[in-house]
Amino acid sequence: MSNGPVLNEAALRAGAFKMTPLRMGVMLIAVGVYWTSIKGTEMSIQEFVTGFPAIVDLLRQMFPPDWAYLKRLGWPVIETLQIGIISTVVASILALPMAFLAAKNVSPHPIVYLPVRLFLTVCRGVSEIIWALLFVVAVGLGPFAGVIALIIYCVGVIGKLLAEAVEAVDPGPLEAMSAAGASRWKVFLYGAWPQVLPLYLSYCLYYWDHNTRQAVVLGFVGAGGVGYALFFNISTYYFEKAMMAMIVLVLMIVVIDRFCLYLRQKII
Amino acid sequence: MNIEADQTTMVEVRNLTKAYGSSAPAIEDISLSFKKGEFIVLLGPSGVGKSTLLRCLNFLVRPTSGIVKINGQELGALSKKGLLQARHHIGMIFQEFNLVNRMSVLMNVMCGRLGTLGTWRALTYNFSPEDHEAAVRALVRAGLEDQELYLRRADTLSGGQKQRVAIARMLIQEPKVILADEPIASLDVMMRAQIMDLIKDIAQRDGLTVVMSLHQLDVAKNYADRIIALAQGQVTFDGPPNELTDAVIERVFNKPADEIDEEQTVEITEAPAE
Repeated sequence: MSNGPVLNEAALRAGAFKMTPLRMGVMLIAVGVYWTSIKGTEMSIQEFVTGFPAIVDLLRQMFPPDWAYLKRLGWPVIETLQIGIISTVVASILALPMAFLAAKNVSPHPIVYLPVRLFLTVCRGVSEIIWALLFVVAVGLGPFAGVIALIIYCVGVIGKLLAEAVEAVDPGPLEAMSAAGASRWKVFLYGAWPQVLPLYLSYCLYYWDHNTRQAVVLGFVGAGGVGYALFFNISTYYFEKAMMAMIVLVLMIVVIDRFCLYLRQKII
Repeated sequence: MNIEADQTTMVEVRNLTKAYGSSAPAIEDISLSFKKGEFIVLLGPSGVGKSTLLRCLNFLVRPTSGIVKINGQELGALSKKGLLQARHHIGMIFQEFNLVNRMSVLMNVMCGRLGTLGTWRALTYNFSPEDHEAAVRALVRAGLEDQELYLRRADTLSGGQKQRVAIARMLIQEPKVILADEPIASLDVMMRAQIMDLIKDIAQRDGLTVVMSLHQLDVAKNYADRIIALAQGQVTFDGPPNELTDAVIERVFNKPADEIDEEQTVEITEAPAE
């Protein structure tokens, strides 16, 4: 290809787009899917335009934010942080044995490995908010329901990620330790764990960040914290207060995000 | 213990077969016995079952059928715990050294003592002072005198140094038998001789039986007391190096003898020396 591309008519014609019956069919199906999706979700440009003044009006009601409300947000913020911290700590501890049992190369037996995998899939297959709704019914309104929901989901995710990390370890050191007469759990502790630890810490940090953000969403279903304050103020039309809560929320997330980033860099 | 057995027999293998799945067996009906202090080289190109045979000797690979006896102990008859104890006295080194990269040199060596480490100490990563001292002695014996290296992460070492750490890890087990799986294949030519000399020296001083897989003919001839050549999972030659004639070599490697050494000089895999 030293002479650069040589264009000839035959090649151009071969590369040109041709409408075949198959392509036509795919296009028609795609258009049909889009159309029904638009209908199904009740999308309407007209309603967006006619509703626009209401959105502007809503924003106007949100400004200026109610700065006096700030001092009453202190406790909800602390509660949200507490939900984030405790759910992450408990989940990361529970995820450890799960990951160990769900990793093909260290799991004692397929009879153990398969159900644990399935359990982890169920844990993360149902989103936090659904778990929270279920546990609000079980343990009542308040942060505890949110904590359980976050723990379950997070065990599912960290457990799965960690199991994959365990499966990806270099098997060489494990073999060497088995050859030296180390029992199964010692092989794991000394051969695999040092390889997995940095990843584990990084997952835990990421999910601490994630759980704090999710704790806010869970507030909407009554699980306490800033999310609940936000939800309460929107549903009772205190929009200036809702605006204040949102500002606090964004600041909180930014701070945690930065802090996690800093910790991750320190560890790895 | 079999009283009738020759007092000096260290490793005994009878009718050993290992098949993976339904494919042709990796090794088939092999019977051998190695004496105390014997330096044995399993010779042959890769994929002839050297590695499988070696791993059957400490049951890292469980044979499909046949008997393996180490120092009179039949491995297949042992309990899980008994097998771990037996393995503790069988040292093993590997082509890729198999160190934990993120752990210190000293820790890696002490891992050779995991078999006897108490539960609480194991859980807290807390080896005893004796283990520390034994690790240092083993490292010095393996040719790493520079104490500055001991607390460095294993992946900061050169290939030759890594194999020395792996040898120290094996020494700390106080083994009676050394299994070595292509221990010089990842090293450069200079380092190969040093590591081979080291293993030979240790084996001679302590009277250890060495079973080493190799594909380098010249190295095998220089160091082995006895060469066992494998092809298609079966023993095709068993005798001292001087009986290994060109005709036998051609049969084992499936090509003329003078071409084999040429090949060896080409495949230098790792450059940095100590």
